[in-house]
Amino acid sequence: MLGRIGKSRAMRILSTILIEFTRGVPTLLFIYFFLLTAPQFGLKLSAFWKITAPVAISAAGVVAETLRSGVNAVPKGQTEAALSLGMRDGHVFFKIVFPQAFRYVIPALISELVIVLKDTTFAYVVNYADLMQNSRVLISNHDALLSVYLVTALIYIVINFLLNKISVALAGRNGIPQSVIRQSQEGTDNYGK
Amino acid sequence: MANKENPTETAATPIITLRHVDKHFGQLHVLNDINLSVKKGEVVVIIGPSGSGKSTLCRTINRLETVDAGEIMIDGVAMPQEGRHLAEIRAQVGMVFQAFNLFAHKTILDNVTIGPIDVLHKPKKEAREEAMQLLKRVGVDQQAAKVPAQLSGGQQQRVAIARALAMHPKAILFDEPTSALDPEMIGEVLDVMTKLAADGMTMVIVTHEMNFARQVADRIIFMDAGSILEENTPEQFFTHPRTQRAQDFLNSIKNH
Ligand SMILES: Nc1ncnc2c1ncn2[C@@H]1O[C@H](COP(=O)(O)OP(=O)(O)OP(=O)(O)O)[C@@H](O)[C@H]1O
Ligand SMILES: [Mg+2]
Repeated sequence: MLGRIGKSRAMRILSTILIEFTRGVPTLLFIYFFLLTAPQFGLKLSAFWKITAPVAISAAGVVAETLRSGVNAVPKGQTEAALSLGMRDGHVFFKIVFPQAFRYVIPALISELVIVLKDTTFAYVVNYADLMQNSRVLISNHDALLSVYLVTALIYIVINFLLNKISVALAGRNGIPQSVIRQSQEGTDNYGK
Repeated sequence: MANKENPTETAATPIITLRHVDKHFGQLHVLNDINLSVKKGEVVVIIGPSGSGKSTLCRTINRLETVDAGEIMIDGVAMPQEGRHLAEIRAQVGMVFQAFNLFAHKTILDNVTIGPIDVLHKPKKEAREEAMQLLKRVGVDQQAAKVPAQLSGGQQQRVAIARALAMHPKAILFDEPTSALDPEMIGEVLDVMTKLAADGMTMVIVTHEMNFARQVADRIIFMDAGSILEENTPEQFFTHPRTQRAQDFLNSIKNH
């Protein structure tokens, strides 16, 4: 994310390729890569990492893009004001631009977290073999299978609901209510003393 | 900042010097061989039609805009291209923007203290005490705990002036500081600026407020199409401008 907005041209190109690649390729493909291709190159991972690594990679691209859009949404005047005080580039970014960018994108980041959570259901691919072995047992208990699905769905819904609640709380705790952030973005400021 | 130093030194090194400054935006020649020198304690007001390059000139002085050619010096030191040294020189020149540009996520007090703490490495307590004094001086000390969006435009702009003052700058640049304000708030900002000028602050001001310019300026710079066409005393400029362009410009404002 830093690379893509940074000054170095090479870094920018490289991070753009990386981000577009991780964003554009479906998570499932990454999982197949880690599951089937990677072992051929001697990369042996535990089942946990076989699911975690690809989900993390595809989420990283999205998160990077989200943060970048947040950074771009911070008005240029904020940077200029900080520079004119004599602040160094790094301080301008981390003390002025990024904190504001992060506030803009909290809701988007939380929705991405929800997607990541759902992606973990792909874990069944990693344990495909196990599932096949057990399939006969499962098929013979059709009713049980349905209720297992229902319970699982319920657990996911509850977790995601909680995540959303947390996101709202987080946004509020950051001090500035969303409405005020929007106000100051538009540069309108004529409501009373 | 009422500390006029001895007059011989004042005469010696100008605070701001521009020599043969040239700048293009693509095809557009936005600054054409600009030469300008601002002495310590001097108030220079830049006037000119829209698009003549006033903002660009103002912004090149602390290198928010790069230049194609020419030299910019602050207190005798040439403005470097970038890096630590550029930041150090920028810290010596305050800037007040048309859109205020207060840090939206910080309180009014933190807006004023961040420069002294982050750049000048002042102890927090000392920075806060001085910030409160400055906020009092511009009449917004009651708002110290609020965030910028909770203040009126006039209040925000006065905070922006306090933020600039907190750095103890050698000069302050103002780019149309009242153009984004409702009419009833313009006066409160101009009052603060008039006091600053009286206290001996070195100021470069881009403004369309002609009465204010006439009252506060030591010198008027008239720009058109990227060039300085006339440098004059306010009295002379507003009564007998030397150039026809300046005369036309003054007439066009009068008709409004
Ligand atoms: N970043 C930019 N890229 C390209 N052209 C620009 C840029 N900034 C300004 N210009 C152009 O340069 C010219 C001078 O702009 P500048 O903002 O300095 O004028 P100004 O005298 O401040 O005008 P105003 O009174 O409207 O503020 C204008 O024609 C403007 O369109
Ligand atoms: Mg302008």
